[in-house]
This record gives sequence, structure tokens and C-alpha cells, in this order.
Amino acid sequence: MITDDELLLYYYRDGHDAAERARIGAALSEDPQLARRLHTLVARLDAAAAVPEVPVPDAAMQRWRDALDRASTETRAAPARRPFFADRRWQAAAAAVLVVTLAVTLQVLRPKTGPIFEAQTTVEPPPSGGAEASAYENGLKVYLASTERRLASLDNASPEERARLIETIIAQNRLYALAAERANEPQLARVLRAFNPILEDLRDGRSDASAADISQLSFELRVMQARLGAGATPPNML
Amino acid sequence: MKHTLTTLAALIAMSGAALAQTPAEKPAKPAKPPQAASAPASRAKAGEPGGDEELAIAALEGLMAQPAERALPILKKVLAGSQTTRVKQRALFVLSQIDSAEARQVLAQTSRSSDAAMRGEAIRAIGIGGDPKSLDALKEIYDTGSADVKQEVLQAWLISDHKEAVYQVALNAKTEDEANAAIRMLGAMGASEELRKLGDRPNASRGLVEAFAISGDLASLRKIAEGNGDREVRLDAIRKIGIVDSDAARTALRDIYTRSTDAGIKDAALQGMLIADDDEGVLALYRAAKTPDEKRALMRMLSTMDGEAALQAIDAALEDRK
Repeated sequence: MITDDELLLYYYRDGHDAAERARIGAALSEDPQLARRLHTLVARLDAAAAVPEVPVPDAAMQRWRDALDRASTETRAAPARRPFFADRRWQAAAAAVLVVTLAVTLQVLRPKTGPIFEAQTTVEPPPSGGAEASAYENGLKVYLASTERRLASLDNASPEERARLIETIIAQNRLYALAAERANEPQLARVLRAFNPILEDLRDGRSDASAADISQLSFELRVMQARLGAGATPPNML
Repeated sequence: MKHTLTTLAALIAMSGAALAQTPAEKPAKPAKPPQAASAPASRAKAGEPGGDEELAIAALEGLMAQPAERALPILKKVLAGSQTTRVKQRALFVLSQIDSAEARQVLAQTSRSSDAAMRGEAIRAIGIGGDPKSLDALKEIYDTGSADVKQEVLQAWLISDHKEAVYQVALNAKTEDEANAAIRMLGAMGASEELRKLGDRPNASRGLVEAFAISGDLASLRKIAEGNGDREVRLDAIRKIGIVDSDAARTALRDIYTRSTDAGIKDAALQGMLIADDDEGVLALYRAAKTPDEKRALMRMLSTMDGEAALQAIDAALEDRK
């Protein structure tokens, strides 16, 4: 049995020796269910990383440190009850999440040999319905919502911040379009692909109607969220 | 559900000044002047949506949860009515999500509208809808349209991943600009097979060289570089091998430099090595150089690259002088 954290460590190339990596890689290529699990986990983490970073208040940081200290003490007293985030491997995975946005950007721009594309080549379309599909959709919903928030924040961003945000959205959007294609969701893939020409115009400063473009994109993001939120697609909707 | 639908329809109706009174074909505004080819989707510009518009747009969002046969008449009413262009553009997107011949017909009709904003959005919506017949019908709009319209159609094909249509445009392009626009689109679509087919034809364009470089297709770049096509395009292909970030590309550039006696080709290969930041490769060529002129040229190149290899070469050159 390969656990979720083993899958994540494999994905982020962290903490496994060569033999362990080979074992998990072989299992992924043979077991579509396992590949789907990895796909779902990555979608969740990606969505989490898409949430804009905000400075952590000092008080919250102190509470977090205290909690870690307590967890460390409790771990020594009762190892079987280790808190989730005190697990060293999960800390490694959490650290990896912090750089996932950068990784996404690099993977999209570089030739398709990096870990994200490697992982995706093994991912089979998720089944319709069931816990796996729902996790995939949840990841997508979070992504759509966070993209809508980021678009709304463009007005208040500095030019450098704005460029960085748009670049990040473009890179993630390409990845999600690719994932939708691989997940046998061609309609969703087309909608996501339709965002990119507009985003690229915004990035390059080519569009003379950027407020209108952002407004249209925000509408489409909300519509897709509503559609995903409605669960089953209404009759005759694509 | 019926109550919900009635409410949505009422909300949209309330926000329009005179709903369902004007035909869809009638332009809401005078046609806009042509815009830059890179910004094809000409959207309604006027600031943020007003209160009534917001209400109508929110109601359109709600339509996504309704069955298509109920949503469709409301959308047709919005498009035929006096709502603002912005609201109608949103309606076109919702229409793109409906799988019915009638919805596709409305989109096809609007894609021939003289209103640039509505036409552009309808063409995009056809791309999002992905219906093969509607996508093929865009060819006629492409052939007769302005540069802006052509770009809108290319983007619709990109959205729907309709590689064959873009390939045909590149194949039958009447100007190099038109071919390059289609080739760029094929590059963005990752259509390596179609690009290779174009590369097999005589007289490859610079756009094709760029597409091969971006997609990392070393074999195709080499084919152009070593072919009998336009010399400038061949030199460009050699330089752009440097963009392909691989050992094979670096080896290819060294090989091209070593085997050629043409100063232009040697120079292009060196520029490629500069782009690839292959100072080790230039150092190897420097060591193998037979004439003082060639050594000087390679030394200058190494100095430009500012790496460890340059220091080694300078050191060796000074040692030789002792």
C-alpha cells in the first residue's frame, strides 16, 4: 500500500531513495487508481498554492511555533498520536507546496520532461462521480475561485506584482487546461484554454480594454464555479 | 425550478430597458475600427458594469444551473433585446455551454455580425463550444475577414485544439505574415506533427524556425539549417538551435561549425553557442582552431561569454606567449 505522503514525496522528488522511487514509479504506471490518487493530490496542493500569500501576523506565527513545540513534546510522550504537521515528511511536503507555483511556471515553460509532466503522463482520466472525482473537482473549484480573487486584486497591484500575478495565472491555467484534457474533460479544457489569449494580452499590455477583459474572465470563472458547484451538469449543458 | 427560472428571467428583463424588441443582427453600436491583430476579442470597454448590468449578469450566472431547453429561450431574448453589449457577451459565453443545434445556430449567426465586439465574442464562444461543424464553418469567416477577424478565428481554433484547420491556413497562406501567424498558433497548440509537415515543404519561413526552436524540435531545425532553402532562414535556424537546451543541440552547433567552411554559417553557429551559453564548446573549438584569425575570433567570443572557459583560454594564450 502506497500512502498519500509517499506519493507526494515521490512527486516532489524528496525523501525517497532510488529503489523506493522506482517502486512507486512502477506502481504508478501499472495502477490507474494510484495514478488518479496522485493527480488528485497534486490538484489539491496546486490549488492551495494558488491562494495569494499574505504576511502571517506575529501573534499567529507565535501560536504556530507554540503548537509545534507542544507537538514535539507530545510526540516524545506518545509517538502514536503525532500531530499531522509534525510529521517530518509532511513538513517536507508542505515546504514543497510553497514552491509549487514556481515549479508550475518552470514546468510549463520548459520542455516536457519535468516532474509535473512526468506525473501527468501516468494519470488516467478520473471516473465520473465517487470520492476521487469529487476531490479533483474540489481542487479545480479552489483554483477557479483563487484565480477570480487574483484577477480582482490586479487593480491594486504594482506593475511588477501585476505582471507576476498574470504570469502565474497563465502558467497555472495552462496546467489546468492540460489536466482537464487528460481527465477527459474537453469542454472544461476549452474554457480554460479560452482564458489564456486574454490573459496573454493583459500581460503584454496589448489589450485596450483590460477592465472589460478582466470583467469577462471573472464572469466566466464564476459561471464555471457555479457549474461545478451545481454537481451534475444540467441536461444538454456541455 | 420553474419559480427559479421565472425569477432569473425577470431579473434579466428588469435590468434591460426594452427586452426582446430589436433583432440580434442589428448592431448595438457602430462597428469599431480595426484593432491590433494581437487583441482580437474586442470587448465592451465602458468601465465597470452598472447596477442594472450587474443584476443581469448575476442572473445569467444563475442560468448555468438550469436545463438547457429552459435557459436557451432566455438567452435568445437577451441577445435579441436591448441589453448592453457587455451583458450580451456574457450571454454568448453561457450559450457556448449549451449542447443544442439552436444554440450553435445563434452563435453562428452572431459570428457574422457587423458588430465587432459581438462577432469576436461569438467566434470565441464557438471555439469554447467545440462543435466540429461550427468550427469548420469559421473557415469562410477567416477567408473573407480582416486581419483582426482572422486572428479571432485562429484563436477559436486554438481554444478548440483544431490543429488541422490552423495547419491548412499555414499551408495555404497568401503572405508570410499570414503563414507566420498560423505557425505561431500551431506552436502554441503543441502541434509538432503539423509543424514538421510544414518543415518538409520547401522554403520554410522564419516563423517556422521560431516555432521549432520554442518547441525544442532540434531535428527539424537541423533539417532547415542543412537544407537548400533561403540562406537567411537557414542561418536563423542555426542560431536558434542555441535556444534548444540540450546536449544534443550543443553538439549539433559544434558539429555545424566544424564541418562548414562558410564564414556566415560558422558565425551563426557561434552565435547559437553564445545563446546556449556553451563556453566549454567554444573553448574546445578554440583549442582545435588552426589559424590565428580563428583563434582570435573564438577568444573574443569566449570573453563575451565571461565564463571559466574564457579564463582558461586567456591563461593558455598568455602562457603560449611566454
